[in-house]
Amino acid sequence: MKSSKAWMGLMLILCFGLVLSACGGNKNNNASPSPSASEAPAASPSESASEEAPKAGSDKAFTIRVGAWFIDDRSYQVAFKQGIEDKYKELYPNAKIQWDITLGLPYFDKLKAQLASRSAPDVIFYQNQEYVVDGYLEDLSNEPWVARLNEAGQTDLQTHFQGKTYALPMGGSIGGGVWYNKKIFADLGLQPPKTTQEFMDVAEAIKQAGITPIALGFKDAWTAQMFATNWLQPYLFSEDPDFGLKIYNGEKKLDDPLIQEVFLNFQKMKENDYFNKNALSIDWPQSAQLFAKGEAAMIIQGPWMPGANKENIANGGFESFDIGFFPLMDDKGNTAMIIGSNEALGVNAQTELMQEAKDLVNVVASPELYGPYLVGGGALTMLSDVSVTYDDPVVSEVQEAVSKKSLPVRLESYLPTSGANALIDVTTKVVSGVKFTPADLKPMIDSLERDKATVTLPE
Amino acid sequence: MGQLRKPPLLVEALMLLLALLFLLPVCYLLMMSIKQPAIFYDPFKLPNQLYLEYYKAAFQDVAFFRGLGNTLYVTLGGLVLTILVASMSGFVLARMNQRFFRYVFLFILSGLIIPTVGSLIPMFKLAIALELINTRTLLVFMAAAAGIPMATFLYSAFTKSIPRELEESAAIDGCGRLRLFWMIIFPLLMPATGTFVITNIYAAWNDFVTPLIFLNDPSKMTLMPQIVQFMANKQSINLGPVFALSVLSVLPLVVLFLFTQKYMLKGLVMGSVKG
Amino acid sequence: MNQNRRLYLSGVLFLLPALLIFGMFFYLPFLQSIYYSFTEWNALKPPRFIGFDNYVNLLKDQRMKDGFFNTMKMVAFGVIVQNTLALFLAVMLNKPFRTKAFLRTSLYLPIVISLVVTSIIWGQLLNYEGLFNGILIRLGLESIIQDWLGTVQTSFPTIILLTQWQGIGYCAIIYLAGLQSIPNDIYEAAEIEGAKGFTLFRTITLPMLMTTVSVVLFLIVVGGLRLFELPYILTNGGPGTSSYTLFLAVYNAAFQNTQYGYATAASIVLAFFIIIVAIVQLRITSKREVEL
Repeated sequence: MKSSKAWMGLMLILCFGLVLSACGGNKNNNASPSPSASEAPAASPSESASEEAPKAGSDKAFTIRVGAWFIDDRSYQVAFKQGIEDKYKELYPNAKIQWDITLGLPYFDKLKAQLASRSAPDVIFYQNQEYVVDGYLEDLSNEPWVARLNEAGQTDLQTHFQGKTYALPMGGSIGGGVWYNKKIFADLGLQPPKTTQEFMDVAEAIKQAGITPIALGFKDAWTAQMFATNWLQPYLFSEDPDFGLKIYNGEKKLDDPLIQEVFLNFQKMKENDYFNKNALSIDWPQSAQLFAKGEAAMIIQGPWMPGANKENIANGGFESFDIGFFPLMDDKGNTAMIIGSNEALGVNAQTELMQEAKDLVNVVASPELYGPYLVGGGALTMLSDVSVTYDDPVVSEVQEAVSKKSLPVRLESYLPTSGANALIDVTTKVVSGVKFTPADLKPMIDSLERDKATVTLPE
Repeated sequence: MGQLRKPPLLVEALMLLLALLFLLPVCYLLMMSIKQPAIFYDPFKLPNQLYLEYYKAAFQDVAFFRGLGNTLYVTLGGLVLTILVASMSGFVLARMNQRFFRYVFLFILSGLIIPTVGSLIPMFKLAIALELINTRTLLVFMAAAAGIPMATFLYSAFTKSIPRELEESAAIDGCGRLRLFWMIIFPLLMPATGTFVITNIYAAWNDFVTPLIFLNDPSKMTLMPQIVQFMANKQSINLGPVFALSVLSVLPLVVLFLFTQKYMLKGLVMGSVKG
Repeated sequence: MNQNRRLYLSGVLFLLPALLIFGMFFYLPFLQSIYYSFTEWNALKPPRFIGFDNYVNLLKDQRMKDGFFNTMKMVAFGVIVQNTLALFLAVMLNKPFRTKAFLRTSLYLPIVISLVVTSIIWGQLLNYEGLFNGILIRLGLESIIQDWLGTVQTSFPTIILLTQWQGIGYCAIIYLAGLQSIPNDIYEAAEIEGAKGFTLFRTITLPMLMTTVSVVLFLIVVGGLRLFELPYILTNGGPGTSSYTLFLAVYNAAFQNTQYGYATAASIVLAFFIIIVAIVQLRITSKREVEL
């Protein structure tokens, strides 16, 4: 009757909305670039592989978006950002860079949503190979800086896939290791430990002296992942570089006694009070403060630690001290470091400013910008024509550990994202004081079983 | 219930103690925002002077007024839009009893219980299709969509207290429906409008997930995500400015609350009588 | 005839704007998410239909399980403790205290404070070296101090208590409104008959309050089921998975693991729960409602 007209009206509204979103959806589904669909090489007339500096761009006025999660107020980051703006202006005087910076992990949440809906920045800083594998990033194999990559750069995992280069690796970072306060160690007559037992002994001595042995900032979950991964590395990979593969194949299980061993180590450290009391509710900057103040003797962090520590000491007016480094180890004294790029810089495959985006990456790869960035982050160079000297002598200690044994893969390379998250969950649980049982590893096992299809094996 | 007898002083003292306990965190917030760095981390030392550097730092490091402006735009825009469309709907749904209208009422009310977390990604895609991504206008529409169920309910409840004769006599006078509504009915629905604004403004103002995900441009960001981002920028070791910024972002609402709480209670009372 | 038809049409037109906005910006994404819940979708490749696999996998997910149980605990606590305390407070606030206005304002104020700021304040207060532990030490209770948000056993209970700080006052004010809408003459009549104290409450107040009770319970239940911001900012579900809520688990599944199909399946389950519980609770209280 008459109500049927009203129902029709309602249906129309819903259909209208459905159609609109379907249009958007179709746009998305039709153009699905995949890594194997390679474009014709970027035939920009001004490019030639032997040149370092990009040729002049154009007077076009446009806004180009750059996404990042780590560009904050640290001095070398500020300089980095400014340097990019200045140098890009030389190329494109009328261009404007819009910095889409979301600090911390929410950046990745947002990035994934943006990529899913074709609204991601034109130039993207990222971590993890998944963005490459899923086809979000443009093939950059023909860019001028690719030829400048050194051996480490060419084999870097998160920027390469199926023989192609998809992003500029922002230097080779160690996965992480133990940084220690040399003064405290000297005062207590301690040497950097070489085995797990020595590590425990050193911590005990420091604790007896009334100083917190290790500062943790597990509120930033990535620090938990860093500690766990880097301690698992020597136990699992030092004697068996194929351990990860075996996990994937099912030859070895994720409740392997070696893995359990590492968590028992965590438990022991917690029981013996080797961690700061608020380990789980302070974040990385706060844990770095403890270290800088001298209230904690050791901290497990990445290669940016020496620079960050110096800055923290200067800003806080604390007493200066020399920083040392030793890698995490297993019972037998084996070490195995993780080496790979920390941040990677790629180009959004869906961007409309393709050439301008590629040029921005090229700008970042220039020695004047790349070099200082490496120094600030403590990363090793991945471009053959950029060599850096670090004024902190600790870097040679790091390099020594790296040259002893390092691998580009880690346990998470063979796990789905849910597995890596399960790893974090166990770590925070044990460090918070819960006794470890092998059942705690079940979520990791389940996630590998359930999401195995999403794992891309490193080559 | 012995309404006229004043309760014993002891009971009143206990209630006051409870009230003070509830206020403690708010006082703490205020106090920390003016506490000198030297005694900042000692929980038992009270500041004996007004240390204003944190406020200065907050204003310098964060575009507070821009964030405030954005928050005002999104919040007020959402409220106004909701009021405009929901008042009309609530009115109609209270008056018309045909099946269609009953179903629509249920349809709208169901919005009160459906959680939106799973809809985030489809919402994202929709926003792209409509080219509304990274616009504050999108947030206005989303806020309105979220507010429509509650507002419609309130307006329909309050409409029931307006006698039908009013509309009938107006119709005799030749008044068109639209004019009838806006000139006569809507002013009478002011209590509903007031109740809705006062109870819903906080949710809109304090929302931080939606702006964080749907806005890219920092110049469009609202206050709450600004605070979260500010904290992430190494401010966790320097919490003074964070506290100052928090006070600033909460202040407008607290002021509003203090001035309107009498009406809010009145509105709720009326609402529960009619509803 | 024509009059009625015009009335009908104008009614529909009045509804149109609201329906458009609500339909498009709320319902449409929700309906789409129902579709996605039956797919495996990581957002670039087109979604792959996998039937009920997502729902089955939910049962094996530690974060989801913990999130579910925590959320249920939250709701139970809210319904039993928060509801009762709020009612009690409302009854107290209804009494003619000299400082009535101050009492009501201070108890309601916490809900005005945004969750972001709430997390910042309480994050500091509950810190290991914060005020709360400091007070405990002064009281000689040093043995029970701990990192309240960083210990598996206390992380979620702490979060529950934080929701109470905001929630009790809010619910109390709603109850207060309900109490004030009960006309005095009914009480006077009952008192004349000799009823007093608790009997009065049980036979008069409570039945007349039932509509309000259903409103408050509804708010508590839905609020409890949607708990997200506090655990997200304060603990992100940790340590381990001890402070996960269903909402947070869904959010992380979607954004951390890029498992959008899986995440929407979880959110549908959440929606399902909310709807069921809301309907059940509405039925129970509406049966006992007494109209004026």
